[in-house]
Amino acid sequence: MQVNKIKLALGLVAGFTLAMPMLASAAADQEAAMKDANNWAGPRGNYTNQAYSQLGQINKGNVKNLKAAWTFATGVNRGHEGSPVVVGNMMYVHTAFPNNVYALNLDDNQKIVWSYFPKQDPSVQAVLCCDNVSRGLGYGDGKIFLQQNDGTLIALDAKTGSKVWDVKNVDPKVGATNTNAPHVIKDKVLTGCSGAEFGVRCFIAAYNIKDGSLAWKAFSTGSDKDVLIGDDFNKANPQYSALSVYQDVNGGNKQGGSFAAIKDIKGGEKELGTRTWLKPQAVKDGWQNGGGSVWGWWPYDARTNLVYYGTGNPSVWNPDVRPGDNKWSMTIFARDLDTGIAKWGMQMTPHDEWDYDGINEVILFDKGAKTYAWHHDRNGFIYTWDAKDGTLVSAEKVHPFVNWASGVDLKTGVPAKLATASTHQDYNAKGVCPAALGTKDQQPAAYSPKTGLMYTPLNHVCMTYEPVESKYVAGQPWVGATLTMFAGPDGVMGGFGAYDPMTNKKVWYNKEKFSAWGGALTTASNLVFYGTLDRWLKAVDAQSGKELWKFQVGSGVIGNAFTYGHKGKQYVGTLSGIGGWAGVAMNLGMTNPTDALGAAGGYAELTKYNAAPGGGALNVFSL
Amino acid sequence: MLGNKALKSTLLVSMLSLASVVFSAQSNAAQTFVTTQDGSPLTIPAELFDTSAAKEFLETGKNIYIGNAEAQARGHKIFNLYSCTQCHGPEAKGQVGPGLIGPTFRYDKDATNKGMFETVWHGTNGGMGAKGIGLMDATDASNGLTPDELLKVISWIRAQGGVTGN
Repeated sequence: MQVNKIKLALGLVAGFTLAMPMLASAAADQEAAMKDANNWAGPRGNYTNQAYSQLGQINKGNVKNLKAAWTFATGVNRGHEGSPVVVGNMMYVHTAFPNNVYALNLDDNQKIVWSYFPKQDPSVQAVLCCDNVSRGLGYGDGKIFLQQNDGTLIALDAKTGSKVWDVKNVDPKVGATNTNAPHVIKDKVLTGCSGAEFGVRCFIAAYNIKDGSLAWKAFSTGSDKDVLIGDDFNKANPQYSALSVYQDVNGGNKQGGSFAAIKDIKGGEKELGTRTWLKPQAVKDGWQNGGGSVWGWWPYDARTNLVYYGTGNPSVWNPDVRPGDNKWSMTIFARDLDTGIAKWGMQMTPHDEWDYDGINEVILFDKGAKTYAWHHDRNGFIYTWDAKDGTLVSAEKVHPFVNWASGVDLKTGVPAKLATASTHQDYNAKGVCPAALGTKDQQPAAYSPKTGLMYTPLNHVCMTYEPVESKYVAGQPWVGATLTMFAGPDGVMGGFGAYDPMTNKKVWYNKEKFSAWGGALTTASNLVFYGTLDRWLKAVDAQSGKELWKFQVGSGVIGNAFTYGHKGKQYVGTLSGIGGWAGVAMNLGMTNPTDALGAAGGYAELTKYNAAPGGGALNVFSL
Repeated sequence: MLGNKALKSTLLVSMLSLASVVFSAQSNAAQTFVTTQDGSPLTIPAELFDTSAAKEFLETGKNIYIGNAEAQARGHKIFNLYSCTQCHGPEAKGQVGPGLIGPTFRYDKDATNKGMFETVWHGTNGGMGAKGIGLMDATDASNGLTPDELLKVISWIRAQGGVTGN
């Protein structure tokens, strides 16, 4: 039985990727599982990151009859991001810290077949910047992969839950942690690094699926050798590799100063991961403590063997003490899966002044004969690139309230920064939109090949941002700015919209009371599902955005909607359990009526919809 | 208008403070500190208390910077310098860590300035490391707060809420 499955998978792989080297994929079971729409075999269903399901039993006509099928309380409080993994009759569920794992048998009343309880030092929780979240599990080669918050990447036998191998990926003692889901692709397990609020120099790493040995590691800052940048990097767009894209206006990095895009930038430069950290830096040469966290959702294209991901903010948040473009923070990279060598990379927010991390997901889609990479960045722009070489096709504001830049140059990718939004030490910049948590944060968007549209959750939040002097101490927070957040000009804090990814123009847009912090799901029946912080799981019409169904769960949703089929029946589900950056303060700060939820003060009203701390649960629905 | 009751309590307070001054003078004993982790004795070298405010605190447990705007401003700077904001928020009202302004506290003793001083100086079991000078950074003994700086930070925190701690 198992042998047949593998043979089938190998046959299929060879069939549709003729150009690929004949490599027997260790994760053939995963690739086979992804071809069956009844499964949800990866963090976003399959390699494209589309979160599109071919299942269509639940449709526009009958979705109103959708009702709770079963629920599972995770026994853990606080933010529950990501979604379970479903393979055949098994569902694998993860929790927030301490990142427990449950294997449920769908054939037997969701009975627990095995469970895994990591032993993690509780002090790890203190070095997680934005709640104790995990974004899910990886599956492949007969194993379930868990990336614990304390940096341990562990492989568990999918049948028994017993440990096969583990490896220490990051060290919390220096403020480094992990929140990402492990991404299994072919014979590798990819994982990242969090800690740009602690001055950690972050990276993406690929471990060999068989034994956990390191295959490659690519830092976000440092030498070309460390960033895995080779000679033909950015070959199609050498202008992405410029030493400097801005010139100082009124002194640049001081109050009253700002930055104007240089008209004829010189590309093809090397060693930019060190050279774009100009002197003097706050600590050493800057890049050694340069941040660039990696924790998103990473797609893969077997035809080009490229994997895509984004890097986070440069450390520290105070821009004045790290002059230069600070590469390769805030960058979308495309890397060869086997070697890790970067094919292309484009920095979206050079010399960040607002903590607009570039970690949000890339979604791959085909149009005509081409494959495109789409990305809704925290900086408020939506980007579409030619996936194979990084040529920028479109870059538009997701909403007109974005006010830190007037637009993005399609040739260079450089945003035209506006002096009115420039931030400097001991100056409180007011009314900057979007806020640091971006027009979208971790909550992944979804694509439907049926409608050809992208469906993205939105934050509609602005901020005040005051960079401050801050001292680096290893293992302790190193932030360098204080900020407060509040609802944007629409008078609400969120929304959910459909966009044409070739133009990035809005097709429809629904306001939401709070940021839509749950990931989206699309289905073949033209339904879109997503969850909200005021506890709703919603189904809307993919063509019009019209709300067709909703159900209120136990706590705010920051998990990703997902679907699977079992014994001929389609199920839709989501994790609930409020938290993440928007909800973390609520989880902790409710001991006093005067507590203002810190930076996320605008979210204070969440306490009228959620008990604190948010209780974790899995909610599953069917007709 | 001062009521009888208020007058009485004012008198009582005056008498109490007088008594404590007398007591301190008689014993000439400095405050003894304990850790917040487990209540075990906490020794802080007396020479670190090198300003009049720090000396007063060592003697009486009182923070004379409470209500002092200049001290608060410096305290705010230091609060930012060591990124206290990351966990406790820009206004010390909590973020990923607890709010610090009261009236209730994660550790009850933080309602007093001596208690809050001990909590910050030597850290907690909840994830916050020691912030006292010499304790904060194993790689650099010059990192961390002096007693005088910590009293200024506390004065700023107290100014965000209604508890004075003295």
